[in-house]
Amino acid sequence: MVYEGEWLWLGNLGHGAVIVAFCAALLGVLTYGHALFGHRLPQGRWETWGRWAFGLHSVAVLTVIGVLFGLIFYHRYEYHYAWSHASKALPVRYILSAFWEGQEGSFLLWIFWHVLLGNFFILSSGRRWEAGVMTVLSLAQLMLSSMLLGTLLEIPALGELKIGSSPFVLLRDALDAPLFQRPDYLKWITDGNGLNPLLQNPWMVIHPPVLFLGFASCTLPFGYAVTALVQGLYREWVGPALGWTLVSVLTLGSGIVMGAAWAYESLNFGGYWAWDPVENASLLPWLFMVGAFHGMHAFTKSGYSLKSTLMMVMMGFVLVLYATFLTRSGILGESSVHSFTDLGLSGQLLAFLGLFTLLTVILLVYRWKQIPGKEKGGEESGTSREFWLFVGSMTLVVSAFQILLTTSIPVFNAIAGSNMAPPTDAVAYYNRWQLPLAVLILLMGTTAFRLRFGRSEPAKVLTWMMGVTAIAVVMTLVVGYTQQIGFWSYLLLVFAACFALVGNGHQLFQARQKLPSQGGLLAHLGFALLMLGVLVSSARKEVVSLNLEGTPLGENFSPAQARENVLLYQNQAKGMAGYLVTYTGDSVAGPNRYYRLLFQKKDPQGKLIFQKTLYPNAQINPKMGLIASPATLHFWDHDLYMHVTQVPDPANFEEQSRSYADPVLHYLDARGDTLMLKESLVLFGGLQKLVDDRWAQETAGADIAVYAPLRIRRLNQEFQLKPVYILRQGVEFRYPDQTTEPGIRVELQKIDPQTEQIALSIQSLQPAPRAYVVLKMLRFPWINAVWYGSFLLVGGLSLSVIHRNRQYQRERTAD
Amino acid sequence: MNELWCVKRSAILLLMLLGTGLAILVSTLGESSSYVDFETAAQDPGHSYHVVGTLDRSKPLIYNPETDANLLQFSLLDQKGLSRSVIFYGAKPQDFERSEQVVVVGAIQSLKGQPTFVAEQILTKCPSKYTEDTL
Repeated sequence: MVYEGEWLWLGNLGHGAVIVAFCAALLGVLTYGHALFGHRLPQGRWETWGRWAFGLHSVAVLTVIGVLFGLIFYHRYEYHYAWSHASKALPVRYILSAFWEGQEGSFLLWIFWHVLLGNFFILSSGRRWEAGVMTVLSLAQLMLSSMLLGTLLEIPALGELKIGSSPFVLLRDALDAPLFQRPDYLKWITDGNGLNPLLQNPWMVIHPPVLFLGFASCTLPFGYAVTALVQGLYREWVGPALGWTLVSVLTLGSGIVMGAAWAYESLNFGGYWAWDPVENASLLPWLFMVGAFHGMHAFTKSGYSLKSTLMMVMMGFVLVLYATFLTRSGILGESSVHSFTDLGLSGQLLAFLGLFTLLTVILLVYRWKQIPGKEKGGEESGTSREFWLFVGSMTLVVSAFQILLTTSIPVFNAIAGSNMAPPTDAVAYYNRWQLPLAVLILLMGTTAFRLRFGRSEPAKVLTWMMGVTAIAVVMTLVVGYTQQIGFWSYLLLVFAACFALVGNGHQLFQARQKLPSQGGLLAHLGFALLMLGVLVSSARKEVVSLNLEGTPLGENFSPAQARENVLLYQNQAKGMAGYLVTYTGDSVAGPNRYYRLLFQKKDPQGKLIFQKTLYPNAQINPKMGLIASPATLHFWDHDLYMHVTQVPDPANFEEQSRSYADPVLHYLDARGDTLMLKESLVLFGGLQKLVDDRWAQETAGADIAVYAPLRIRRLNQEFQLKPVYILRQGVEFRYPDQTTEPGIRVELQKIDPQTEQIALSIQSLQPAPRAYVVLKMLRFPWINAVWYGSFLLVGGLSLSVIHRNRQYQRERTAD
Repeated sequence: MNELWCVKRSAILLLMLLGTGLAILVSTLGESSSYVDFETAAQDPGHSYHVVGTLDRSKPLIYNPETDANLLQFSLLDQKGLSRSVIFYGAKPQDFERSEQVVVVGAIQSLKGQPTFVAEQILTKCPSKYTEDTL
């Protein structure tokens, strides 16, 4: 069958480009690999071949990206990827997010950064490292582009083996539907599945590219380390790799912070960090890269800690691959809220991880004896900076080890077939280990900056430390008292953070003339502020929407059970966190429903001193149910963070509001009577003949035409109703009467001449359901310290990257 | 003398590193919970477990925010097919009814004489998250 309207050429172009990219990467591995292992053609001919290969690879990759972007941009729904990730209503700025929402797109993002970094590296760095670094980069590209191949290999013994998943699969090949029997099926597919609403957030446009740049940048230092081990350049690699390591620390760190900001702004798990496996997976390589950077720094100044540095750099990259495996193989299963679904690439991912792990282990074991250790008798002094840099980076490794182990529980289960689950209170468990490690890192990091490489004067340092300690103790007491921090372990972290703030601040002040070179101090200062913010905002995090009214649950109900959600009826104010909070209604904008919450504060005289409306929103998505996004009231020293946890389904709501209760029959004296209803009084003045011009048509030729004059009293209001009854040639006609307010409907059902009674059928309108929201509200004190600390950290790191680059250029020209 | 002290210091550092690593390993093993069925959880009331199962749709699911926004009652069918009532003092998780798998974290407690699983956390797994591959 020939299908109408498909742009097949575009998909073919994209798929062809993937194959070219894959082959060119293979060519790159072979040519650069040849150069790396010293099969030298005259004048670096292998490298020239490698450059051609990488150039071809780059062009092919850019083509793939262009094609996929085009498919999404032009809504080519004959392609499965475009159909499942985009929709016509999607704003243009989120087309980027749609691009990398799927696994294939996010692999492409990673590939793209490798291409960019690789070309930049070739242009800017010397040829000395090109062969090695580019071999590793090409190998990584080979593995990554194989994830996009989407071919089935027939292997006689194993059956079909799926290699990669192509983003250019046609919808009619991916899905099975009777629609595809029509040649004009495309006309009937009017819209795509659309982007996950949680990802329709500005942070999601910027967070994944930065994070993937971080992942991609870890490949270069790894490449330097591999080159060093293969070619025996154990000392020389550190200098040029240092800057790249710093770039990794900066970009990965920024990516993590942006992820935290996204979680805080648009997810509703109640915070910026939850020790979720996916978060941990990005933190692990960062910790190793930070450790590696400090090791390299120590090595360049003192020739110390080379082995541990090599291991950390290589582990950093291997952990990037491990993180990829964890999040994309589906192995995390129920232990993570946001892992990718399995695309059947687990085997390939495992091969990717295994290959580079094996490479790391083999190289390190093979060369271990040759790697220069400390010089004979040259054991570093306990008062030297390099010693504490080493201890500090080891502390980071310990911290990473704990996170790695706990995050890997599902992996152990898969290997051993066990049924271990993460600790039931995972957050508390992580914090218990990470808190003392953070204390150590803060104290050591601050003191090490005061020490000199080689040997310092202990007396001077001790005096300085005592001064810093004294100020920090006072600060700790102030913070502890004002924020009411009771646990000594928390106070210890507050002290460590204050110590770091004072110590680094003091040194920064002393070095203020040379600020551009003080990125390190600035970053350390930022880290201290970040830790202080993390501690205060999580230790003193408070649920302010505590429900104290809930129905008692019997003697076994423990009041410790969190009852953290509060029901707010429309227009009924409730006191929360010192505010009167009123839900005043909602409005719909696009797919979102915004709930208006009015926050008011009055002084004791009843004068309004604060008023603001907040709009937490939710999507009642037909595919995902209720997806709530938080709204936040920002103050300089705390945030009030809230999201709805439950809302009435708007569909039910409208239907319900129109219905009447079942009718109830009441018998009244035909000459006049009084009826008591639950909420109203019905006064009946006796049957009246219906003589009315307006009823002329209905009453013409009638045997009986009467009405019941009714006065209905409710509260202080009175309403009049006139239900009509007409009998014509033995047929009864009833004309009920009703008022919507107070909501009553009366029908004159029967007239019984024998008993002189009438039967009134009365229906009352169901009380209108009251609109409500169920709200959860948290108070995060000092949350701004987290963000300002992160700013400083990222700013300091950026300064260091710039400074290091200048320094390196100077060193190179001096050579 | 100085050299000896230095060697010792390296050794001490290494030992501390290994010791901490070991302590982390032990504590991870010790603190980790396990995925069990209701029968196992019932043998140790009050002990916190993860129970994996599916929502028992033959039993009522009670969540009425207008009477109590913090009370969710439902029945969970564990992987051995045993159905137990579960109580959760919180709001109903998003998209709860659609979930294809539910993990409840908590312990069996006796509520009004009935053994009930009191959940502290509910994790739901929804059919392939957002992307639903049907036309």
